[in-house]
Amino acid sequence: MLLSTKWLREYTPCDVATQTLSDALTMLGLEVEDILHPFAGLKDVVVGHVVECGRHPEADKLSVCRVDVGQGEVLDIVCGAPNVARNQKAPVAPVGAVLPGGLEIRKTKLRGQPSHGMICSERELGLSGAHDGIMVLPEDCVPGTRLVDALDVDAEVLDINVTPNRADCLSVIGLAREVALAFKLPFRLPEYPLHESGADASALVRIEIPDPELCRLYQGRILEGAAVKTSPLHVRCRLFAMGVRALSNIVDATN
Amino acid sequence: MSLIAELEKLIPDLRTELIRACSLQELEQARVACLGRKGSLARIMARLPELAPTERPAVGQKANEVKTRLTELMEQRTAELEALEDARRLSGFDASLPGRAPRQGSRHPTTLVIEEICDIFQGLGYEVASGPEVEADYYNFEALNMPPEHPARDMQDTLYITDRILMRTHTSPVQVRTMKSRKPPLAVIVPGKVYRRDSDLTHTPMFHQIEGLMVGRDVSMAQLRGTLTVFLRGVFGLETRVRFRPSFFPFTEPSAEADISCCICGGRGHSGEDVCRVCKGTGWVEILGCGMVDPAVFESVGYDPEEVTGFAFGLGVERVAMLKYGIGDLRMFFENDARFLAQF
Repeated sequence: MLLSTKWLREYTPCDVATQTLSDALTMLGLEVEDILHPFAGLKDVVVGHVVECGRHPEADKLSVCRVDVGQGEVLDIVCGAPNVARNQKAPVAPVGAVLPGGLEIRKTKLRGQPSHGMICSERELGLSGAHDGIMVLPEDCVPGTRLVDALDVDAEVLDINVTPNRADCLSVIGLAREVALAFKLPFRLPEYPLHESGADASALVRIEIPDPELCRLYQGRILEGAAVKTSPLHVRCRLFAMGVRALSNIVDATN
Repeated sequence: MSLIAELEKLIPDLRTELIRACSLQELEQARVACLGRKGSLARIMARLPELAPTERPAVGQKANEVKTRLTELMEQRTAELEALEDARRLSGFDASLPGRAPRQGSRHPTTLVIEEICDIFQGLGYEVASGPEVEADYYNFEALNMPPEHPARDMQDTLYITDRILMRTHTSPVQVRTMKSRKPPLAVIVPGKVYRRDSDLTHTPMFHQIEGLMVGRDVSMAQLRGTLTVFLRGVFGLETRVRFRPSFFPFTEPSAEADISCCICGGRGHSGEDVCRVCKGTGWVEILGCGMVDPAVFESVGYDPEEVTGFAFGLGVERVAMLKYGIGDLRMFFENDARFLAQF
């Protein structure tokens, strides 16, 4: 069971050093086998602001951009993505950066135009398989910030060996309860305001349990007007940290 | 020439041949040519009937004399040549060199560890018990509180022979067998081979475990901790620190795992600059699993859980050997390399 420490802190204000947390969990019977750094490969990537974006004179599919990466630096970058546009905020790997997968960014010329960096897609960042364009970041990201800070992702994730008798710890909430007890901290579940309207679910759908011994409880809700879309970025990053592939908003919510 | 003269001539003729012969093989050829069935002597003797009967005894006697003399010469020269051979073979032989000592066997590290551990426990009053390696599913799983379809079985990869017969995956079935065969109180230690479907850098399909079990009135977890602490210090040294962490096994409740302070880095977590490879910087090495016998197991064997309590523990022998002797690779235990085995 992978545990995102940032997510843990939403339920209990645990701010001890990761090693201390890891030792405490181990001594409770939740052995921490490893401390992972799922976003270590992104350490060189920063937020960039596409200030200018124009067609490449020698190549139809390429764009020549000027990208502000903070500290007064504006880079010339040639980009092959169909969706790159002026005023976007996007992840930039500057010269010298090494991406997950080993690709090292060098100063180069693409069809005669200098390119001193790379604007990245999610696949190039190892975050997902999405590669039909660059990853567009939220408007409020500040150029020059490290991407890992801008996305507020976990530096460290704990790999916990949850024994078969502790199924209650197969969730962040379950682990948060243990952590809160271990460190004598408050434990609080966030409020989830529910907007209920319309007919009762039981009027619309019948649930039948053929074998109550094997399945003691089954709960259901009706959600109307839900559209299947990609989950928001921060949700996908959370799931990525915990080793879960983000598929769609509905599936991700169940995970 | 008279026959007698011919006979006498055989001697110098042979002598010449013998001097010429340089090898035992040539010597043999000369012998056959002279003394063989179709040799010179035989040919002369074949002409004996040509003589008058009065002359035959003299010739016959001469022939015997010559034959004796020729045989002597043969033997002499054979001895000479053999001595030369020996001398040639032994030239360069230095008698002051040490002799080749016969190779001496030694005990396998697994054996050494098993003997040491059994020794410690026998000193504490435990008996050594054993059980079959080909086991019934009932003894290996069901009686140990792992019913069929239970996820706890997933913790082990089992080699099945039929649906109900398998290669035992731990020495714990012997707990059940022992308890079924007698009444409490008891204390047993069970070394033996166990089998799991697992083969990689740190796992082999067969390895050794040692199981311990003590059952009686008022057997407590404090006694478990005490026994194991004494035992671990006995194997790894008096300064070894021991800690217990909660864990889970289907046949013990509560369950724990015991760690020892890393014997390589002394529990510091590092040796010099580098993070200790053995304990990976934590300072602790996991060494065994243990716990209080689950009442369900007592029910399986017909003991009353209200009357008795017990503790049990199990450890991997190769693991202990690797830590104790600093062996880096599990596969060395099974490769039969004499250079490895001779070190014990």
